[in-house]
Parts: sequence; structure tokens; C-alpha cells
Amino acid sequence: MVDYYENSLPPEERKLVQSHLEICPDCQKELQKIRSTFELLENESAYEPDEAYWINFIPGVRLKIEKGQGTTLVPIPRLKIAGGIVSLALVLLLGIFLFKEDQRVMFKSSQEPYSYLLPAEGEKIDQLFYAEADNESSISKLFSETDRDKLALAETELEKYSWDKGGKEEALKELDLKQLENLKKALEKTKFKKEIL
Amino acid sequence: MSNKIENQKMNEEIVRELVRRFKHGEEKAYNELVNLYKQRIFNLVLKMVRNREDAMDLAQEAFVKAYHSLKDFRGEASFSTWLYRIAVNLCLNFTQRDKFRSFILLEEMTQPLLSSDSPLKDLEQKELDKAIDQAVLNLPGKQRTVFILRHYQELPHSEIAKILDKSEGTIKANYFQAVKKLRKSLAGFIE
Repeated sequence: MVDYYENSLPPEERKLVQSHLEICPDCQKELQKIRSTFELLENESAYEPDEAYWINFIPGVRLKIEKGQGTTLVPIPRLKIAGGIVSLALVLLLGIFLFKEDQRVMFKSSQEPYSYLLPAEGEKIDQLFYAEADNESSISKLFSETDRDKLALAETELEKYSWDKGGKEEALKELDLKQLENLKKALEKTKFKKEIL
Repeated sequence: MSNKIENQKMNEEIVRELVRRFKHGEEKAYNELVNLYKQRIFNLVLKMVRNREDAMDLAQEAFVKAYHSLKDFRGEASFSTWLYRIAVNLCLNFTQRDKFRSFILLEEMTQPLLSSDSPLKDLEQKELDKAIDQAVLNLPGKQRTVFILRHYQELPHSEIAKILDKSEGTIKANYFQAVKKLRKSLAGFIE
């Protein structure tokens, strides 16, 4: 139908379409829609750069050729490659780091669950998490006894906050409800990671 | 033989000669090639990327790219087919990479209002231009390219097929789909 509208059909085909159009209201409608679309597109504003652009066109091309830049698009793939290499290196480093950490969890968890992560204060943290269960604190509302096996990441998460401020216990106390919720989410992830390992 | 075909053949001969001269080290021949095609390539690029600033830059870049590749041009396709291909690929890469930015620019683009006596008409025109820009940019890359080469550049399906290295049937189907999608996108402007 578009070819018919553009008058680009061979004469015989055009005749066939024309005869069909005379008896088919649906195709007449379709043709009308196509015509309206093209008529609308004809109303689009034309744009012509000013004379200065054309005068400077060849010198501009020559300048880019001489600079050897090729195109402004060229540096992008280069950046992409460089970025890719850096990303790959980061992923590898992260992978090594995580692998080591997870191995540590696996190895130690079989004997002395998680306390190795808290060599000096492990017990205290443990107590802090669960001893207050009777006090209806925000912590005890979020963590039950079954969450006990997630302490490994608790420490990591706590370090993100203010571990050094006043020790682990203080840091934990400083967490608001939202931070505690985030902590719990992170702990869920640890559990999953452990399971797939 | 019609005048149009005669002229076309003559132009092709001139272009072949310019390419030959350039390959033999005559740098000036390339300037003549640029002169012959700069307007067409600029119009193509402008319709593809729908942004004046980018089009001004990309049109030049198409010729820079062509300059660096011309030594390897074997003349299997005509120079114009080959050059169009370079420009189209450049634009497709650009819009693909810069799709988000293109849309932002469309929103922010301040095209000068036409100096008619009716501000309302000017505003309507601006709205229409923006709607067409967006409708065309929203077309999938292949359909957009086919539509632009056919509608704005007025190239025959057979030539578009050569540029995009597709069959004529595929080109026709893409063109039809593009028109259909544009009609849908611009329905609000069509009475």
C-alpha cells in the first residue's frame, strides 16, 4: 500500500491494487491513513546550517584527519576497553577476596561457629545480640535465635557503620531500626552464600 | 536514455575518477569528493540523530572515517553506497550509545521559532517537529535507517538494500513497518 501511495509499483501491479481499492473500504481507509501520515511528515520544518558551516566543512574534516583523532566516537571504545580491563581486574580482586572470606567461614564454621571472626569480643557481640531478647529491644525484635548462624556478616556490616567508634557493642547500639533491617537483609544473603558453597 | 540516468552515469564516472586520483596520492581529490556529498551526508545524519549540533559533528566524522578507509575501498559497491553505509553505521552507533542523551536533548532542544506572524502556529510547528523527532528516534535502528534513506533521501529500495546489505523484500517490509509505527506515534496530529 505504501508503494502504491508512492507510485513506485510496476504499472500492472498498480492497476490491480487500484481495482481492489475501488471495492474495498478497509483498504481505502488504510490508504487514507498512509496519505495522512506522509502529509504530516511533509510539514516537518527543514533545517539548513548557515553558510559558515559549509565554508568550514572541508577545513574541519581536514583538521580532524590531521589531528588523527578519527572521530569523537573513537575514544569511547578505547575508554570502554580500558574500563573493561579495570572492571575485570576489580572483579578478580573481589572474587579472590570473597573466595578467601567464604572459605574461612566454611572452614571455621564446622568447628567453632563464627567466633573466630570476633577473636577478642566475639562472645560479647553474641551476648549483645541475644541476651537482650527479653528486653524487647529493637535488636531482639529483628533477630531470633535461629539468626545466630549469621553472625559472620553481622561483623562485616557493623564495620561498615561505626565499628571503631566505641567498640562493637557500642556500634551495635547505635544502629537505628533501618540500619538493623539492612543488617538483617545482609545476613540473609550470607546464609544463601553459605548454602550454595 | 533519460537525462536523469545520463547525469547519474556521468556523476558516477566523475566520482570513480576522483577516487582513483585520491588513491594515487592526490589529496585534493578527496576535498572534491567531500564537496560532492557533504550536503547529502549532513541531511542523512541530521535525520538519523535528530540533533543539529551532533549532526554537524557526525557529518564531518563520516568523511574522516571514509578518508581513512578509502585506501581499502575496492569499488565493489559504488562510492555513494559505501559512504552512506559508513554514515549510517556511525549514526546507529552514536544513537545506540547516546540514546538517553538524545532524548534529553530533544526535551531541551531550543529550536528557534519560525518568524511567522502567528506565535500559536509557531508553537504548533515546534510541537510537531518534536513529535516527529521522537517518533523517528523511537523506531528500531533498521526501520529508522530504511525510512530515512527512503523518505528523506529518496533512494530506491534496491539502493537501500545495497547500503544495508539486505534483500529488497526485507527493506520494503522494514519501510512498511516504519510507516505503520510512525502513524501510530503521530496519531494525535493526524485528523
